[in-house]
Amino acid sequence: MKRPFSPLVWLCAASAIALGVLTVYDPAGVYAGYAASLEAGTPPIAAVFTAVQDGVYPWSVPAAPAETPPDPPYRLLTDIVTTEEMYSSVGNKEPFSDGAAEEGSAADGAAAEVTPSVEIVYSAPEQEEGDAPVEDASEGFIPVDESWFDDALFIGDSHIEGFADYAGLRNATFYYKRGLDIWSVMKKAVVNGKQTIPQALSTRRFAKIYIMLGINEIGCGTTESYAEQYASVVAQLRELQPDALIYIQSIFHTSQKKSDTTVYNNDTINARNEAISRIADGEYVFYLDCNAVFDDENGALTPAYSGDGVHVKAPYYTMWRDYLFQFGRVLPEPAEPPEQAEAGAPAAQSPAASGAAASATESAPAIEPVSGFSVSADGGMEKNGFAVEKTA
Amino acid sequence: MSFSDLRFIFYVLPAFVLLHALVPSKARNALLFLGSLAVYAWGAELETGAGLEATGILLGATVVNYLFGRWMANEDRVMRRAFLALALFLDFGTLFFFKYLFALLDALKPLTGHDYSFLHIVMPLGISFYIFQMTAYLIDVCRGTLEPETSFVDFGAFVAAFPQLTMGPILRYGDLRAALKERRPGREDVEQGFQLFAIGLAFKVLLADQFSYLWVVLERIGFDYISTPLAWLGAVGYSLQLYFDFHGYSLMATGLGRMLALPVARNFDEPYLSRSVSGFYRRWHMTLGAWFRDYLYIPLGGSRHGTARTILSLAAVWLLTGLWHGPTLNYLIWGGVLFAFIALERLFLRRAFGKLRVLPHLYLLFVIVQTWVVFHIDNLADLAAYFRRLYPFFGNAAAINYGDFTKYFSSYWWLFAIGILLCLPWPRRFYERFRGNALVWIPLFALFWLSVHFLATGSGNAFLYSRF
Repeated sequence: MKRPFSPLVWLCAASAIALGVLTVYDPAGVYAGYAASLEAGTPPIAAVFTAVQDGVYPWSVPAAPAETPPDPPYRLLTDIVTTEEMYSSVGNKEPFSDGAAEEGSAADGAAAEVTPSVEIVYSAPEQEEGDAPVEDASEGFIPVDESWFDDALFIGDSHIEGFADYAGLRNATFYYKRGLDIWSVMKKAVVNGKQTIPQALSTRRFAKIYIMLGINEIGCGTTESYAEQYASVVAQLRELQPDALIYIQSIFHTSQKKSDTTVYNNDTINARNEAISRIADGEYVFYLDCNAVFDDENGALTPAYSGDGVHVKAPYYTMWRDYLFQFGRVLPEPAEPPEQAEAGAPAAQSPAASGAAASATESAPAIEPVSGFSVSADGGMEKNGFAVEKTA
Repeated sequence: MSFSDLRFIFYVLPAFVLLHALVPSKARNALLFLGSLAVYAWGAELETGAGLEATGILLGATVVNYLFGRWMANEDRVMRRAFLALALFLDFGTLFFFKYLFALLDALKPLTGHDYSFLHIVMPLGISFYIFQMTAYLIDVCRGTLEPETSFVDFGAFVAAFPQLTMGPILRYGDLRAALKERRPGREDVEQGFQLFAIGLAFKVLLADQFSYLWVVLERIGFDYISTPLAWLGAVGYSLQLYFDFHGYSLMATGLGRMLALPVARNFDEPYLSRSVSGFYRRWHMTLGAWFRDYLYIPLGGSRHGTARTILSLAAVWLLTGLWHGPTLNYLIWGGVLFAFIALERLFLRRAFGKLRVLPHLYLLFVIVQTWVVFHIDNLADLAAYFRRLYPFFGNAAAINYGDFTKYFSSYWWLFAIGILLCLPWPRRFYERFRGNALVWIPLFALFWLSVHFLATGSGNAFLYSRF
């Protein structure tokens, strides 16, 4: 007896060919960028799906070409990456530069997003006079107790998830998502799975905001592009909550083994921590070196504290909490309400300042040099600093 | 190369199926043999960085076992046995060298004081599977139940055929010979084979890999600090994960075989519906169980020489089954525990359960999910910690968040619901009844692309059985 015809294999083959052709020929010019940021050897058809993550569907392509530049694909923490791979993505070259992230589209997109009206500066290390902001900021801290966190907000990745579950701070508020990174933090619905952080912060006030982000995207972008994006997130938070103290918590180290064998490398982490420590202004924005809590004598995560080489086990979160107790401050007087946040229209600005503002809110780390901040071919900083400058 | 690698799905699979259909039937085994070696070398290179070495070892073992088969032809029983003994010594010696020697020396380090880390060699992918497959062939030839193969290419195709090379099923030459000599893959083979492949892929990517994140969370929290309900949820979750991982892989293997008109044996038969541990292992990884039954348990006397002999044979089978999975102590404990329950069933439980219907099922599930915990955790201190949380009667319970079960159950319950539903007989009955129907292929089409989406955007996980 003849079995009925089953079209599955033919449908899959036909659709695979169609999607394959779409990505390779790329009539709308959307997929080239996604294809370029795939790991070497991955079939180009995968670009269709990384694009879907940005809301770019094959049927929506001609209508909306390159609306959103791709987020850097982050690696999940379960992934083991070889050292070679690590250097191919963490090294000096920008791995995610692609056609989709063109300067023009990024600048257009910036108008729609929150335009920071606060000055947040990420300055290049070479230009510092030797006194790191960390040391400046360490002055003026006072010990506090649990009640300090009544109006505190924690924003972060799986580290903050563990902290929320096990640090025993029931009075604080936590906006977290596993796998969250500095490029997606303001865009994902991390507040009860419904609201984004900008949405939530437009209705709720916090006096302190603690950030912990950086481990998921450690294989993406460069130290500079990461710190640049970090500064832009801090600027947006300052804009949304002008009276809040913002604590930048250092990216936690990984265990020596994890550091040696995967992309989660402590040298990279140290470089990035050093870079984000420079965002602190000692007035509203502070940097906390949380690695003091869990490090062993080699500057890696103490193996006994961790089951996976990245996160600490449940009982150790209270050590982190107790550490934070040391860094209270006398709250500053409420600042003047910012006049017209939207007034920062690029037209009103000098070219340099508007360029910086655009780069502060665009989401791809691989934008070609904007004014005020540029990366030379070998990744070195050519100009000093990155200013998110504003009008207020 | 992993079947859930996008390069496999979009390059290797279509290329192989097309070429296989186009070449003259005389050249098919050569294509299968050489093409499989190439795919194996590529996959081993990607996974271990030692693709050529691994392929050399595979090829060497294939040549040696082929020659032993030839030499046994036309010899009398005594000579055949002598050849077999020598061949088994070489085969199991190779397996021992690559899989166990370093672990053994390392464990003895405190006694010997020598450092043997220069022996820490990368284990060739799939060696446990292909060595077992070839020894089965030689034993059958020695017994006279199988004519030795004269064509090296056909034998090589049997050993290396990519659908089954790295993770089984462990095939028997007798079952494949007819298909190796003559096969004409038709339209229906390709269609039905691909349907099985798509189901297996969905099991692996959409179920097993999703369950795996629960276990990642447990390791992150630390086994000492999970609540007892979460510990049980984790054990059940891992039981489902392992099932959909290996069952999914096996379905993909069977489907790929079908696409090439090769009968790749079934490895799973709804094991979680069993009513005893011994019954479970007739339905879980069936080809490994059958190997141990035919080539160890029955030769040792099986159940025909009294209770004591039976128990001894079972002990040998289960300790070696444990050891087959790896050189760590937890696998020995795992095999030992399974032996204990199987012996208990034979001596006592089977009669005690009598015709009860529900209790044996509950007993089986209760025992099996705990044995999987032993199977999974290779560090004994961690294993002890996990069991202290499964049975929270001893030890201190510090730093436990008693809301953890609610938290993770509320995000995983639907996965558990789907997983448990798919362990029941009805989904398969539905599939068998409607397999050419739009009720089957439309959902499968969606699941196939959803799986690809997950593979393209997440980080794929290796198949759990690729370690063995």
